[in-house]
Amino acid sequence: MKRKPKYLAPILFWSSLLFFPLKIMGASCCGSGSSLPSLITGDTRTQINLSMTRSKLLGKQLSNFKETIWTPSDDSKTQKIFLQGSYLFDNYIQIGLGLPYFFKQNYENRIRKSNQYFGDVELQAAYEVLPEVFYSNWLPRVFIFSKITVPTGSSIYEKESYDEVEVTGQGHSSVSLGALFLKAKSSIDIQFMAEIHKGLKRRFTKRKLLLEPGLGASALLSAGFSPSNNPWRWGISLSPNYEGPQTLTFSNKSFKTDYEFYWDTTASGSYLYSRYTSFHFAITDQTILGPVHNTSLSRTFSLNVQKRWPL
Amino acid sequence: MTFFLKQSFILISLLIFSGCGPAFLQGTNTPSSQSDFKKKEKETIKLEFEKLGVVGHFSWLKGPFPSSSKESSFRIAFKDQRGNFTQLIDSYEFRIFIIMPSMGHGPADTGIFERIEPHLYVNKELYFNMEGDWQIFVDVCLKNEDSCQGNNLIDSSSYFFEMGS
Repeated sequence: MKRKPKYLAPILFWSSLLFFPLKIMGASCCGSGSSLPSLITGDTRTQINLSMTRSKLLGKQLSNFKETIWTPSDDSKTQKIFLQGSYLFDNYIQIGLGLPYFFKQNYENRIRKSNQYFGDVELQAAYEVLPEVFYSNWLPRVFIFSKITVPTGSSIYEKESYDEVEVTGQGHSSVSLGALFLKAKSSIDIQFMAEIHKGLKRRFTKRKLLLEPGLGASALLSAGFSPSNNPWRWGISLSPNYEGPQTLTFSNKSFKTDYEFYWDTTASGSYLYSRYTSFHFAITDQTILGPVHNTSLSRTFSLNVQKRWPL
Repeated sequence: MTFFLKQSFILISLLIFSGCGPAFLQGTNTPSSQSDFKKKEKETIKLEFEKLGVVGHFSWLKGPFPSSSKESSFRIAFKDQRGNFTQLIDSYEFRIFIIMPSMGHGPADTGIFERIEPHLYVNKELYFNMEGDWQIFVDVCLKNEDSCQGNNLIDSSSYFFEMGS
């Protein structure tokens, strides 16, 4: 009887648990934080993630203020349902689609507002440039990915007035390019991701506004641990996010916004229920690490279920 | 299955519990000096319209409040260079544009800008939505024109301020 290599089980295990969309919520509104795509890394043809997140606004770090302005508890909440699907064409190339839907509430001085709307649709493609064809103690698996964000949500640029509960998107298309490094060894795994993105110009005819987004970038360093023969994985991750200044040109005046910078700190747990079903829980807080600049700060609790279908 | 449900229940409970609290660093700030800001706001704010030779005397009637549920309002009285009240000619009109330049968005509600007397205008039912840097533009435009650019823009002035909590 042929024995399975001893490293095969942990690789399958990590592959199953690692790739949930780790960064569910971004800063200002909703869309900027999901820079890490949900990738297929195991013997899976199709993969679907359903995530539910609940985010609470904790405060704001404004560009001209040194101190953080904390938001009274329970003032502003955002719920998001995010359905992501990925399909692996061959062993290396995959595509994906992400559909977000938001439920937002704001409660201030006894006035309650609520809204629900689609977020920005995400299209992604990935290629495994360095697959793990043989086991190495140090060589990581490497994926490169690209993501296109389509501005199907409602943004702060649609109207002259700005109501927080109405904002579910970034307001412009963007294209991102990134790389993901993954190494799992024994009961520990490490991921590193870096991506850069560029927003595309968009004209808002009704407001006579030309929006020229800038460059942005983000990175993620994540580590996970799972005791042997245990279906649980526990992980932490740190993720800095940068959005460059944007130029807003109205009919007779022009503005350059300030850059935005914040850190996501995430603690998570994953459970491999079966070979093709996993659950994932995470809490992400944007107030733990700094510096932060010109951004709102929130805490997000997320619950994911991932279903996979074999090759 | 029972073991999984039990562990899941404990984990979710812990995460929800930890997610309900305030921010970890909340309360570590030194309180900002709001009195300096309010004192500055009480000073006379002048909007210079150089081409027209007009000065707009800006003052807050309510606020400004960084809240989408608390009304702010301001008034602008227009005087000529000698300090006499003045008014626009009939073919011109004022238009207000309010923005938070660092973030690129406007207030929750820009309100209503209306003429109370020939030289006096009031912007009421204005609702801001956050603290920070704000800029109020007052443009003098050709009346009833859709756009206020090029030859349609006669003059413009603005007031930049930082709103505290």
